[in-house]
Formats: sequence, C-alpha cells, structure tokens
Amino acid sequence: MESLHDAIKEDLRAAVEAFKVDSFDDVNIFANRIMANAVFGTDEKIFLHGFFLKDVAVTFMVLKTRKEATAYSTAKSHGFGYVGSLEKSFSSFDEENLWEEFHKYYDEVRRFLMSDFEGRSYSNNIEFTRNAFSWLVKYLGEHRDILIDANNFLLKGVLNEMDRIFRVHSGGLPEVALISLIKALDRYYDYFRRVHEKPNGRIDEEKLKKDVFPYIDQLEAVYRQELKISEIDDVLWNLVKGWREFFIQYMELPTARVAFEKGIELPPELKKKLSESLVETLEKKI
Amino acid sequence: MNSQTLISKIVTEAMNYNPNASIDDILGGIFTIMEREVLPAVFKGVSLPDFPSWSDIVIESKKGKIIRKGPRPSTHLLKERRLIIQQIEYLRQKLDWNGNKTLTTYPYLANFDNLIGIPETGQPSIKMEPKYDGEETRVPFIEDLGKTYPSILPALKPKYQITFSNLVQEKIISNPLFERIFSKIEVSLRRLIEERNLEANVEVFFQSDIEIPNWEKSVITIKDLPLKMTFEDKMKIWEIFDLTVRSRIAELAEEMDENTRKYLKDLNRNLFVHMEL
Repeated sequence: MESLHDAIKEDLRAAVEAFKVDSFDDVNIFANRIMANAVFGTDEKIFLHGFFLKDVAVTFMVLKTRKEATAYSTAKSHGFGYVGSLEKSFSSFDEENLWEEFHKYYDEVRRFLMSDFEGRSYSNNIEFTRNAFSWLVKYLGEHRDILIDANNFLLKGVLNEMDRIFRVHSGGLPEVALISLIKALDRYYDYFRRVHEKPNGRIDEEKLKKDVFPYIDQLEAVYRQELKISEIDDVLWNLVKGWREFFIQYMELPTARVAFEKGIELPPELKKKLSESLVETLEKKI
Repeated sequence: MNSQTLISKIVTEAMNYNPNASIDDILGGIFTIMEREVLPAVFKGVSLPDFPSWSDIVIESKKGKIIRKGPRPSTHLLKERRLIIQQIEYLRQKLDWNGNKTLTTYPYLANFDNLIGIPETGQPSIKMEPKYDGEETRVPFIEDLGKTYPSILPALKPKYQITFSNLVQEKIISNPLFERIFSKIEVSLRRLIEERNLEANVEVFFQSDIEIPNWEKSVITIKDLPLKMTFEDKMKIWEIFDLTVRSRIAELAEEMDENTRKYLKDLNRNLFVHMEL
C-alpha cells in the first residue's frame, strides 16, 4: 500500500512540475498514470486525484490554444493553486473535501472559458442549470437505445449541452458530479463501442444492456441525489477502472470520426482491385 | 480490365455483402469508400514520370522547328504532363502524405525554371495552385469536442508569455477584486502584443522596500524584446503598455463604488510598468 502511495505522490509531483511550465499534455499523462496506478492497488479511491487532474489538464489545453486574447495567466493562478492543493491533500484523503475543492475550482475556472461576449452578458442562474441538467439526464435515460447505433454521439451531445450551460450559468456540486460521471462513461463507452461493434453498424445490444445501461440508471440516481459522495465515487471508479483496462487491451483510440459514414463495406480484395485499376489508367494517361 | 465489369462487380458484391442495405445506402457507401479510401490510395500509389522542366519544353519546341520531317514532338503534351504531375503532388500534399525520395516532389518545389524564360501567359507556373474540385473544407474529424479529447486539439504554442510570480498568483486566488483587475489588464496586454505582433514576454511581481516593508509595489516588466530594436521604439512600446494599463484601471473605476475606487487609486499609484532595456 505504501509503495502505491509513494508512486502516486511522485505522479502528482511530476504533474505539478509540468503544470508550472504549461506542459498540459504531460499533466494529462501523469493524471492517467495516477488512475492506472490506482487499478494496480487495493486503495482504489486514490484514483480521484488523477481524475480531477485530468480535467485540469484538458481545460488548460483548451485555454492555451484559444485564438482570442484571454486572461490565461490569471486562470492559471487558480489552476496552479488547485493542482498544488491536490498534491497537499493526498496524505489526508477526504473524498467529500476533494469534491468540494474540485467544484470550487471548476466554478472559478469556467469563467475564463467564456468568450468576451459571454463574460459580459451571462450571470449565474443555478436554477436554470439544475432544470436543464434534469431534462438532459432524463432525456439520456429515455433515449439510451441510441447508444446501440455505432454512429451515435449521444453522450458527447449531452456533455456538450451540459458544458456550455455550466460555463455560462454556473452550477452546484451535483452538476459537477453528473458531468464528471458522464465524461467517465463517455471515455469507457468510446472503447466499448469499438470492441462490441457488429458488421451491420450496431453495437452488441445484449452487452450494452448488461455493461452500459446500468450506469445510465446510476446517473439518474446521482442526480436525484439518492447517492452519497462515496457511492458516486464507487460508480466513477468502476468506469475509470474499465476505461484503464480497455487502454491496456487496445491502447490509444483513433480520433473520433463524424457520423456520416455509411455502414457499407467493400471486400478488401475488391478495394485493392479498384485501386490498381485506377492507378493503371492514371499512369497510362500521364 | 474492363471498368464497366468492375463497377457492376463492385455493386453486386457490395449488395451481397450488405443484404439489408437499400440501393441508396449501397451507392452512398461506395462513394464514401471511393472518397475516403480508394482515391487517396490511388493518388498515393501512382508512380510519376520525371517532371518536365521549362527547359525540356523549350528544347522540344526548338527540335520541332529544326526537324521538318517525321512526327513533330508535342510541347503541349509535356505541358499537360507537367500540370497533371503538379495536381497529383498537390493532392498528395493535401492528403498529408510524406512521400518518398523516388517520387517527383523536388521539381514541384524548385524554382529554377524561371532561369530559362518566363512562361507564356496562361501556362502553369510553379506558384500556381492546381484547381481541386473536391470539398476542401470538409472536416472529417470532430474538433469542437476537444474538451473531452485532448489529443485532437491543435498544438499551438503562444509566441510570448505573461507570467505571474507566486505571490501575485496567491493574491489572485485569495482576492476577487485583485483577480478581476489583473484579468482585465492581462487580456489588454495580450491583445496589445498580438495585434502588434510583438516579440516580448511580460512578468508581473510584487516588490517591497526594505525601509518600508508594508509598502507593496506591483511591477509589470516587459522583457525579451528583440536586440535590434532601437531605444526609441522600446520607449514607444513602454508608453503604450503604461497607457493601456492605466486606462484599463480607469475604466474599471467608473463601474465601481467609492471604496473600490479608492482601492484602484492606491493600486494605480503603486503600479509600475518597467521596460528591460
């Protein structure tokens, strides 16, 4: 156990060093390492540090690449403060406090993700956020069958709406927990859909009902606030563990592709013949 | 190979392979495969002949004038070959194909043709980009979901940095008013640097006086300007920076209550813009 804690402490140290010099790709790698290392041990909840750190890394990658001038260094002050506090809090693990700190950070930094127009126009409207999130989580539950279609982007679509609503109107801890769970589910499902895709462009329905749909029910329960923080962490841990195991099995996924590809296949031999024929014609022409 | 037979074979095999698909699905699928897989493979796979230079064309046209009998060498065929090769190389470039040394990328990039003579009006020139009838703007990857998928973000790095000292960062976290002021100042400084395409870095830190330890100065230092920049130009830049920072604080003061205005006034008095010469 102690050796695992030592390893994760070093992952966190490396992440702080990388954050200092804006190397957010590396912060992301160290965050993934923390989650993977947690899989190898028995004290599973320490994955949370990695999960939150990954969110920080991805947010700052986005901020750093913004075209318009932003208060990037001011935002980075908040990020740096948060990453430092993650490192400090490691020795006295308190999951409730970790979530509260993450929510605080998340709510601070989202202001810097707003465009100039958004910053000047929108105000906090947590009631609206709560209603919209309720609608979205219900919608996800009712339309879960769309997840069978290999070309769907349902989870990303829901996340997209939640992200922009939280960004401009703010939200509470339940909203941050819900977004976090859907992000984790989406990462897991991205592997799942490729592993269980059939030649007809559908995902294996039985596997989906058994391995993915229960998480959708749990999302609804989280948002109805029937689950405590420790239970939310259990759900999150199962998703993260599944995702890290998929990574061991399949490594990095290819970049997400748009959905307009048709589910038609040409036999490889025919594709080869067609290419050869066209090459021959073209070479003759030149 | 008879292309008609091949097309019918493709359609038949695709239908056998996908028994539940409609004709529209089959055709759409074939077009998608053609666009995404077959045509890129064709353009990457085709081996090209030597790229005819303008000197080859000039020599061929002179031969044509000297040799009166027999078939006349066609310069227009050389020009056409030249254009086709350029177009294929252009498409390869668009397909992000790295190529290999045996192919003819070198003449496409070379500029020595102009030494032979200026091409006639309407002739393909090295700088002319061949027309591409496909949809260049079609983006096959999702980019806007980058928040969840860092690997698809463009790897852009700003040319300059604005850095805050640890103490300034701590004050930003703990003092919302200070944060608000400095985020406005930071955005203005970034705009200033980007609009003027300046090569400069900025550092912000606090400085206190040994004799008066309670007196805290905020210092904005402009540094790393190009060595070749004249003293006068540097001073002009300093003036613009100073003016921008002060006017941003003045703008903020207009929206604030009396107490905050006093805070801003003090901050302004104890804020210094330095230039590293």
